[in-house]
Amino acid sequence: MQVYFTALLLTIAVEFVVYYIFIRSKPFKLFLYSCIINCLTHPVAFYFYSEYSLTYDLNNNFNIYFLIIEIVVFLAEIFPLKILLKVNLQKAVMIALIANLITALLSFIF
Amino acid sequence: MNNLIIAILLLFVLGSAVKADLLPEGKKKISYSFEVTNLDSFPGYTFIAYPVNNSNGVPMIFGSVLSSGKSIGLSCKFGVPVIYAVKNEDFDAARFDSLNLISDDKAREDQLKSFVNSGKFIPSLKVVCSSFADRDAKYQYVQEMFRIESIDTDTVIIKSTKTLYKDSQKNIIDAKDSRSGVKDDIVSPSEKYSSYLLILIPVLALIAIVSIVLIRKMKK
Repeated sequence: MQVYFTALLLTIAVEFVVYYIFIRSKPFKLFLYSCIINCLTHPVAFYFYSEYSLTYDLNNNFNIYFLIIEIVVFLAEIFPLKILLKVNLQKAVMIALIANLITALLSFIF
Repeated sequence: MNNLIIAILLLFVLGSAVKADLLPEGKKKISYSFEVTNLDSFPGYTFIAYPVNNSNGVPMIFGSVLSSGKSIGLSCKFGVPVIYAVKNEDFDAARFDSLNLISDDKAREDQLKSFVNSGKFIPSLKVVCSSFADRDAKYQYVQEMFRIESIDTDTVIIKSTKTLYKDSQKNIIDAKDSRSGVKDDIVSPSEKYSSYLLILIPVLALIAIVSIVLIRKMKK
């Protein structure tokens, strides 16, 4: 569980940086929004990823579930981002895409 | 000088050969154990496993009396343990224990073999296992659960019922039901606790988003 919360905190921190690069104001609010959005998607993604990768791929080769879950998370974050950050849909898509791309790449390192 | 170079090269070649024998390419070492359940349903019988070797180095063969809740670790090397059933009146427990205490490995192995072969033991399941898993596998321990189904005069039916996969903290991270092949509902206490958190956190986040939206509307 400790590993999970470390991963969650790292994701929140990285996504906060991405939000800040795009919005450039109110860092505390952005951090709060990063916490809320990631608390919404990260546990669900973690649950499904552990469930599918362990149940159907005990050899633990890279599997398609990771990609599917990352895409679902990206899509799920677009509307909360649009609402909370008060940005247009295009910008929300861009923020969600970059933030999730970076965190997905980081998951290979850590 | 040339001899020294040859010696070093030989050391590398032989060293890698020895290493390759110990750990196959792309694999990691895991621990394997098994447990037999439903023993209490057959009070007239004693169940043993033989030959049991838990040594990764020199083979050290023992015999083990099975009991409820007792897990037997195997190195999965030097022989495949067989589970035997024997009527209580035909089993000399004191002799069996004394044979297990023999310090000389070869003598103990020979005498236990002779004890089992000369007794009225009914052989059953062979516990075939592997102590290797793919290097990236999340589990570190595998525990197989067997269940004694029935005993006739010369036949013991034992079936594999469940395989538990555990991480390095010995938390169960997966459980496979051997009969249906589907994931079982067994979870360790910490897993159970964490699964509640995985539901609670997104629910709280959703409430927070709705609250923020409502507060914004109220301010307008």
